[in-house]
Amino acid sequence: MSTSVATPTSAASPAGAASPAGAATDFHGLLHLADTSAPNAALYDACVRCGLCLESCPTYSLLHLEPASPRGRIALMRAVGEGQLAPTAPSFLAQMDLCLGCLACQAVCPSGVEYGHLHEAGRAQAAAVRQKSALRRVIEWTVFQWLFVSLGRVRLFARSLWLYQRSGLQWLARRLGVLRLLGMEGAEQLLPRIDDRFVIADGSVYPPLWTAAEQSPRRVALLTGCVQSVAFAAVHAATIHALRVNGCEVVLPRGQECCGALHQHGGELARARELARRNIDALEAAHADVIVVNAAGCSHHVKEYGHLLRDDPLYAERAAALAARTRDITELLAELGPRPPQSSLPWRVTYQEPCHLAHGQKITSQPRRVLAAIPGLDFVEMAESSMCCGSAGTYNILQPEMAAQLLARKLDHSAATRAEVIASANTGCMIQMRAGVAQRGMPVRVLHVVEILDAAYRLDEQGVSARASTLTSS
Amino acid sequence: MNHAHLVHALQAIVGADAVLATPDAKLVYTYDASFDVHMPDVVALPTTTAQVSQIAQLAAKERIPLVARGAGTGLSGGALPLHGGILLVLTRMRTIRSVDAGNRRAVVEAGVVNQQLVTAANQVGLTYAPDPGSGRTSTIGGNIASNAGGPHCLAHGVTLNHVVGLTVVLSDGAVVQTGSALADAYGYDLTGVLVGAEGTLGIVTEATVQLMPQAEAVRTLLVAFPTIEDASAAVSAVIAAGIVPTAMEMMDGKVCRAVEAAVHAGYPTDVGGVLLIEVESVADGLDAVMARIADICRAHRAGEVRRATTAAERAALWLGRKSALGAMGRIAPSYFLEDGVVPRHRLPEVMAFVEEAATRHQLPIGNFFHAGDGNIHPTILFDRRNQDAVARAQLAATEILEKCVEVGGVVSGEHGIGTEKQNYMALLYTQDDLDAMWEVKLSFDPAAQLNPGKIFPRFYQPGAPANHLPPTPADAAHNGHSPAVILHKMRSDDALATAFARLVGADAVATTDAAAYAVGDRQPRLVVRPGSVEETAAVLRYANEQRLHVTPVGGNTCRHLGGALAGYDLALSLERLHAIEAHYPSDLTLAVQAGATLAAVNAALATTGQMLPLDAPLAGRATLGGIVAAGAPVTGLRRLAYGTARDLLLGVQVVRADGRSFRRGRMVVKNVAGYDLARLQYGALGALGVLTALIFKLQPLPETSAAVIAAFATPQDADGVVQRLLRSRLQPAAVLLLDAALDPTPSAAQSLRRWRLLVRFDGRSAAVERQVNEVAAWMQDANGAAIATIEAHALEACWPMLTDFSQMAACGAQEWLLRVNVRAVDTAAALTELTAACATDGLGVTTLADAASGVIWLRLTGAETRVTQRLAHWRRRWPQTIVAAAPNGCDASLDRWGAAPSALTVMQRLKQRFDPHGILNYGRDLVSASLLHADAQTTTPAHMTGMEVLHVN
Repeated sequence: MSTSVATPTSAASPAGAASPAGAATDFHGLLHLADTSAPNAALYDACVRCGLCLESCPTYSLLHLEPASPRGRIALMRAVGEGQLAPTAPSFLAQMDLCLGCLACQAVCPSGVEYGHLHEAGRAQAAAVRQKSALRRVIEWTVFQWLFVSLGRVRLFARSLWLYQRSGLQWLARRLGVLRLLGMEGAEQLLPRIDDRFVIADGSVYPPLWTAAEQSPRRVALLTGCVQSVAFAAVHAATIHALRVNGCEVVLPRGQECCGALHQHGGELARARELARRNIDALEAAHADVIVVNAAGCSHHVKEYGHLLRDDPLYAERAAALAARTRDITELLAELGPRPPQSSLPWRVTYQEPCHLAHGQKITSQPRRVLAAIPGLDFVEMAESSMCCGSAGTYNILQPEMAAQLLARKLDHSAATRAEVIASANTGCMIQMRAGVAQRGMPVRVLHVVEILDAAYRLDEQGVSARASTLTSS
Repeated sequence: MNHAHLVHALQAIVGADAVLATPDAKLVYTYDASFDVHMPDVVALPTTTAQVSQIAQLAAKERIPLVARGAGTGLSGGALPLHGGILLVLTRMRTIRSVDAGNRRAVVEAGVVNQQLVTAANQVGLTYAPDPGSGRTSTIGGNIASNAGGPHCLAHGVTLNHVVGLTVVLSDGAVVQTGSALADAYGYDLTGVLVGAEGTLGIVTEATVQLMPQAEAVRTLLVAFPTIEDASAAVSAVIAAGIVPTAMEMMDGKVCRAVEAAVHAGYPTDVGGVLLIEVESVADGLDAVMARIADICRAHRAGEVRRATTAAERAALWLGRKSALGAMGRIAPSYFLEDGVVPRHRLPEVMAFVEEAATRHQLPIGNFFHAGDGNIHPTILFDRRNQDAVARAQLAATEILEKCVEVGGVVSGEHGIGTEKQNYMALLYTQDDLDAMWEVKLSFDPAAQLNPGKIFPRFYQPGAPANHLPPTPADAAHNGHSPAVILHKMRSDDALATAFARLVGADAVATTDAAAYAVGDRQPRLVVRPGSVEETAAVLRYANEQRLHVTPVGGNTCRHLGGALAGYDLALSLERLHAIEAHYPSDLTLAVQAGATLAAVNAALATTGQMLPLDAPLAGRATLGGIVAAGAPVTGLRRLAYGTARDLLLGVQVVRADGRSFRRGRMVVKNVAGYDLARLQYGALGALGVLTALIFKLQPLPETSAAVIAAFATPQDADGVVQRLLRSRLQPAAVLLLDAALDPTPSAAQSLRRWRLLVRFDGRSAAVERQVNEVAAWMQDANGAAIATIEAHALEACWPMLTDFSQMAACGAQEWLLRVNVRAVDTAAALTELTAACATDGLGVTTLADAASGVIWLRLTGAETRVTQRLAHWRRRWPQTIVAAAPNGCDASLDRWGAAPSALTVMQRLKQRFDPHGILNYGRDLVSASLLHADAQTTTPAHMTGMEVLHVN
């Protein structure tokens, strides 16, 4: 009845996966780097099965199932790696998908298991052997291989979406139940509201609004991103302005693309690497002191460029150097102080921690410090603030049921704080939270931390101009 | 039933999504946090006790092993399905049913996570003390199965000390409740045996746990030492100085480095070892304690002594300590985590041995452990794929545990035996010891289907009973009153005396002073006073063969406790067994023979500044064996501060009815190696065996003590102060509501009010003074009259009068002693009701109540019919109402114990297995009284006549 993990049984794997650690395990012919096409044995061996990760895991905390826990998933990856289990095993495939990749487990792992890297590889391995439906293949190809490989296409797509949302077509579609017929009702609600104006990285440079006399201003290059640039123009505007208030020169380097996190998350590593190279080229050319990213998923991913391209002879070093210069906007603002606004912002605010900020980058105190710098702001912690909201890249579209449960839990905790503003720091989370808030009809706004800080700065400016106008009129 | 049918049947019970049957889905349930791997046949995730019961019925019918599992963080393989079968995963039973702040109780389902319970308790200012390293993941059910400890168990005790009741599914699917949500329960302590039984006796689905107030103040010190031996010596020195910190944790340099890499808590990385020391209590004088600890550490070559200044710093240090195990993954992928416990004063020697073993076997061994408890966790690190390393690791593990046993320790303190430590059990226990545990196993689980193959050594075979006369069918039917027995019993007392004189010597046998050994209104035919364990065994062996009724007697201070004896041939007096066998002052442990009196032991301990804080009535006569055997009815008035004998008992030596003897427990404060046969003796009134020796955990004598007393017109008037105390962070040793007649102070005369509230504090002078003043002020607020402070000396002088109020040695004509358990917060209301009823019925009454525990003593005077009528009424209201003493000549059939516990069947099986002929104190304890009663109802009149004949003396 008992089996020993220590002695792998004869491999039933179609790919002969009983290969030693690190060897090429190429099931699919798409990805060719041995080290990333299957979870690395050295990484899963670091798991001593202590189980301390279990309760941090959103899927475990909903299902209370070992397979749906980080330790269970590592055991599955290990079993596949050691040839005990075929990579086509239903549990393995299901769990690689069900994992949000939120990295909460990695943040609490005392053994330092690099779960994120394991999971990416496991997901790629699963993606390679899965029999996908034709529809899913079309969607994935469209998303990963066509749409998000060029910001031009993103803008084109966003513009049509804008038309859909503003022309009355959306109203009509919702009204007529077309979406329900197509089974797209849930997904449609998750579409971000497209901005009227897009942010285009055209090489513009914004000078600082204030500089210390003795030093040259810090030059900051902003990664504008894909969704962020078409649906979160306000976050970009706030980022640029807030950095200028804090004495930075902000540049929007030309030639940048989507950061590639979406692709990596979806197991499309080759495409992710290609986007990373293009971004490195573009961002390096800006000669900035700091690369700033205002979406936590993207800042996390750019910081991972070194790992992603570690086997690329031309880019490995450059990627690592760029990653070292990259900061999340909340991190950079905290580093800069930030300069405290003069105006009072009497909002009741709670904070929903993006996984890729809190767990992936262990940035937890900085966003709170930024909010604490705002006079009059009434900050209330919500319960389980660092538990995933269920967005997780494309997760809310591919695993709607689990995502909905997580969102409901998050909204309950938010509501309990009676906050009027939910602060966050990531595109995916904000889309998810906004959809949830709208669906429940909660009288709550979802804003990026930098938007809240900048709201105070804008009040300062209005105050100054108001005072100025008072002066002139008198 | 084939696999598909089994799966289908389970799905019908728990639903399709709660059954995992495919190999890939089950694969993740083959492991826990230990080394072994075992595959279940099928995994089921029930959500209710009813579902667990249905599954147990299914498993019993199909004879399939049933293994319960929580979060799978066990470190010994306790939840691994060694022989396959159904793996019952209880992680979906995670409802906290209630948190009762006033009574400091919570009721939780087995799958509730330890941290989840702590968080819920914290919300009402309380906490749940056991804090295993796995606490943020592990379940209460799992904690119970392995009697989990944790860093803070040094002061607060282990899971056993905090679990008061359980809902258990037995192997046949029966659902029973053990223990009680109230302060005590009567009958055998099944809760105590189930805790630490690793799911081999029953499946715990719900637990009632005791909560305690969060400490008013906490101080945390991180102390660095050049070597781990220095740190070990410092641990002993701190305890020897009379300081019991809440936690004293050790981590060696290797572990510090791994932990620091994981949590960045500021652990030094260039040291031999560190101690993480924490003290908690009321704030007054706490800094001085901390300073004293720091001085002792410095005297043992401590380097840096750092105090955590913020809550965040403290949390980071603890996170580091609790991450130590996981952090070992940074050094090697596999480990054997040992869990030995040794007497604290042997720590330096044992740690040196561990270090030497590491060198000899060329394996890194990490050490992070509960130094204050002497509970070591050498973690032997290796790579599971290196077969040679695995073999060396196993060898090192064996050597280390052999060393632990050699120095007087045990092989598991808090992780359990599981599959990993099974064979080490033979290091610790004899065949007779294991056989006694096997009786427990079969009493609960006759078909041995629950978690089979665990705990006992793999090669264990139950031994043959020592009794040479096989029981006859008549024995089974008549509880030992077979015709053969009648023959012997007809023999003269002189013949009996001669026979026993040959066993123990003529001096030790008497027929003359039988009156001093009377139980109820019966006197023994013979008094036997064995002088050794061997003689005790010989006496019992012979008595068992001759089917003589034996009552073990200590000081006979509970003469009136319990039902009428079925027979009383022999008083087995333990008075000659009164030696202190060992006392380790720096360990705060004591081994003592059962016949030693509480007063004598405390007099001896006082010379070393220590005490056994039991507070039983008539301490000058009451023996320790008797106190443990009597259990709840003799619990002391200071249980709030020190616990009861159930909490302080570490080990027992017992002679069974058939003369075989067993030991369980050693001079160490934690022990989860095998079933807790010690707890089984608590409150069993010697019905399961005769206690011959005991091991206790001690306490340092408090620096001082004082009490404050006030007069109130009604219990309700005092209740405000009581409720305030129950919800405060003060640490009273006793909260007593008593009749003015019992007022030990001159204030008795100063107020005509009928009631007194007395609150006692033990501890550091500063803390006692402040708390007394605070409570005096509360009494003032509540309009208490004649408020007075009783200083230490006066308190010591009057205390025996209070504890002796509930003595059961003497009982006047028409005098009755009742003990009523109520919810702590209801004490005052119940007192009002009880005394009003007495007034109505014209019963005389004096009362004393432990208001913090909800224990009410009533001494009544009045006619029998009035008392019994009232008793029946009260029992409907408060089922746990016992008649602790009744006048001689009262109706022998009077039910002394009240409502039968729901697990009575298991208790009866225990009695029948440990004492198949019913010779021990038969009829007196709750269980044998129930057997006797059942017997009386089913036997023929002819047999009844036989019994009549038998018992004519």
